[in-house]
Amino acid sequence: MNDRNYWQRLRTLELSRRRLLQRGAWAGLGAAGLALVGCGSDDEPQAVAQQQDQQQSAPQAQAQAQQQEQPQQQDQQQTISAPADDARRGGVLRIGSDLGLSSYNGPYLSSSAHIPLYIPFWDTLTKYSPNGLDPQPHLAESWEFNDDQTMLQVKLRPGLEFHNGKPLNATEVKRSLDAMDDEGVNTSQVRGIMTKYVSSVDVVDDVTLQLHLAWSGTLIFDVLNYAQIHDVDDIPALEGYTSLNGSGPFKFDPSSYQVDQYASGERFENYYEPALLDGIELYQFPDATAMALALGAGEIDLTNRLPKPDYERFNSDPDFTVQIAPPTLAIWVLGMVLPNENGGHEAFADPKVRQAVYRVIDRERVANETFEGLAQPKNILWPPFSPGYDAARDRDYFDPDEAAELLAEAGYGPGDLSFELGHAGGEANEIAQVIQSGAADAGINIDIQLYESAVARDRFLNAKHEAYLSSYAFFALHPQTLPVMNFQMRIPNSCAYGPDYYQEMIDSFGTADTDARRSELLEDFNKLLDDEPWVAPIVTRSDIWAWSSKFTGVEFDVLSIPSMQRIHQV
Amino acid sequence: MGRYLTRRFLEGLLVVFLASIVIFLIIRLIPGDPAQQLAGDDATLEDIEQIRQDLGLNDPFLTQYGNWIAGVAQLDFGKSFTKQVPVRDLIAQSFPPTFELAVAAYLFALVVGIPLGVAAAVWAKKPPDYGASVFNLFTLGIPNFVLGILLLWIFAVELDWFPVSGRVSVFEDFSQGIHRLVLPMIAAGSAIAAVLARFVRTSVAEALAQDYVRTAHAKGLQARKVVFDHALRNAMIPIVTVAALQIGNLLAGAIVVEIVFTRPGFGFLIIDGISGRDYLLIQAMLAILVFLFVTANTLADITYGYLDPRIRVSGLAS
Repeated sequence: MNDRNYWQRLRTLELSRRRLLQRGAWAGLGAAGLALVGCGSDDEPQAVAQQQDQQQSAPQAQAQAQQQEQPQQQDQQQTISAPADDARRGGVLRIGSDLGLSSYNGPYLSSSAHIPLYIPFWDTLTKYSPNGLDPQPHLAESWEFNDDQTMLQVKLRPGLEFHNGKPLNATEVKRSLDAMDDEGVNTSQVRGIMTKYVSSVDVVDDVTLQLHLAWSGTLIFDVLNYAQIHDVDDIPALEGYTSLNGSGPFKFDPSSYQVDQYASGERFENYYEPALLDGIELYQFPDATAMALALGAGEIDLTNRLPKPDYERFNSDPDFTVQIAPPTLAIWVLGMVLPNENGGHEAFADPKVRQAVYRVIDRERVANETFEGLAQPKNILWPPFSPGYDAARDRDYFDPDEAAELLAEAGYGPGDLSFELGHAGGEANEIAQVIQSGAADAGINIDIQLYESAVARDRFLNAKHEAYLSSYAFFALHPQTLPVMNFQMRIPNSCAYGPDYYQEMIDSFGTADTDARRSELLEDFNKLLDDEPWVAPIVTRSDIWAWSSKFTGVEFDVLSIPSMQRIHQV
Repeated sequence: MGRYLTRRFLEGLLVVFLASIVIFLIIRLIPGDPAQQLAGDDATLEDIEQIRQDLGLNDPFLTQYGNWIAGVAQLDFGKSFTKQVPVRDLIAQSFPPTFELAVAAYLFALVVGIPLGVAAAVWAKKPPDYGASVFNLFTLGIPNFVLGILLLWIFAVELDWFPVSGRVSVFEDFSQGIHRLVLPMIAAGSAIAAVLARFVRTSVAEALAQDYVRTAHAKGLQARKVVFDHALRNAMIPIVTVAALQIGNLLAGAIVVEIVFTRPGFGFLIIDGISGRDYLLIQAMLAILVFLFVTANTLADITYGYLDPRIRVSGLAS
């Protein structure tokens, strides 16, 4: 992009006469600024929007094709960008983020916006593969369950170190995992499942640990996927990031850190699979649009939050690579709040009304119109690779007539049911409008209400809404994990839904000791979500990653989290 | 003069103190809970309560205010809820970029606005006057953030003459610093330049109609000397008032423009603070803005005295 600026194209006559005149007019307007331009240095990155002559295909088709091809692409990338390619070592990747490290509230909490912030600096014992919930070695080299899957023995890679050279052995890993149960350490979504699933951690030898499981089975890998291993002695320094003794591929540089402006790291040579890049730089931006602008101008090399309107422009520009992350990052849902002391809506006490609302959501339309084809409609909560996925239930539920019938059974005629649908802005407003339209066809009046984010959160956490739109992550983990760590699914929850039999079901996930029993419980769970839905899935929310074509090797796991080790210059 | 300055200083201090109480109360009246914001959507009620306790939010208002104001008296603004670092450090990091932009924009406004206003007054109903009117209409009619986006699009994205984002300190790299300052400076300073130009035009036009100006002309003084030494100097009192009052707009404008140009500074910090309900951060920043505004107005009052000795005498007498 930088080598195709205005003057070069002018010299090589790549500009049409009309475009030349347009540019000339702009130049005339800016003539007064010319004198000041000389102040800039010659090595300033040049950014001129490149003319897009190619005919662009529909984004939906591209997105779907991209998503369908995802596994193959990832396999190819793994082959192409094999590690230890010294020729490709070097370069610094400048990453844009709309959040700063200070908002990364300790190494246990993670949301999609935080991904670029934590993956360079911390690592986990295992990560899921690109295709499903099968764990892959990271800091852990291998693992083995006992017969009844109540104990997992984990073997670390030999010779691991923290960034300051301190040995990253079994004792340190135990300290790191135990710290998740420490109230002095920041709150954490992962802490919830850690404390629920793991009863104790024993050190066997320098590289071997035993995790004794309160909830047996492979659920434990949901913990290991997110529990970033850190130096417990370093935790206090994370307030203000005066130091960061991490376990990931890049070594944080505290001297260059500027709170919520800039952070950087250099390759950690003693990492088990050293990165190909020399280093990374993190720049914070106020929003995704500003990041797209900076990416286009060559001031950053990568963003994970490309706005939808910029998708076509970057996707058809050979100077950039655009990839929609796997549709597992987060899911938009409509929550229906049962009457409670803080709020809710009387009608939602009746499961038939909730079923009716489930059926007025035109998910295809939301995916195609609101998300311009860059999201996938979600009829049920679980993704196809999930143990909870049931193909028979994955059908298009949108049916206003059926919704009207359900409402009639519940005693509501056309126009009798009205409720407020609260949200915190952004895409939610457009989703709400589509739902409002579908609901009107079934005789339901929806009043869409925008709340400032802090107010929306208060209403959400205290079940004050009548109904709400929100998105949440982690839905692609094991289904049993969701009612433990997610506030919309556990008890108490944002919908004030909490019958005893649901609590019993959640508790029984922990005591199920055979695969058959686990399957039976998942079937019960699916039936409950069908019969008494309190949250209705709408569409997936995927981040759109875009990076300069000078770099390649961005690979995602099934939960949309990329690895940094194999990114390298072309 | 010393008594006058002392009185003005004490008055200013009182205003800042009263403003601190208002700020403290207003922030707490905004719906939304800092503990909830920190804890996130999946926090347990116990987590939220623990955070509230840790932050001292369960203390009575008076205790919270007392603790805060006692800290402020020692220039300790507390620790940011959301960023976990002392507010003083955050302000020290973000104030220079905003100050730099505000000063640059103010200089731009003065350098453009005053000559433009004088020219419009001297050549009233002639091309310079019409030109000034067009400039005023354009810059006052377009909000500074829209102007910023336009400038960004034309000169940074389309023409690639300026970078689209970021800031380099002029003390670290002067040319780079200025290069990244030009567009934000124009965006933040144009509307103020227009306001100044309008006031200068009116004031100078009035002055030019006075007898002493006619006398000066009759004495055979050069036109330039008449305009700048006689008319403009006498027209400066209302101009200084307006210029001082614009400092508030300038700071607010700079904060918005910072966001458009992705310049680190108060803009980022204040938005983060408000959205995260970071009480201590917002309190400190608003108190500083009030202090700056009061200081600017006090300086303007003092300047009157130099421009018009009658005001100095009156101030001393009272």
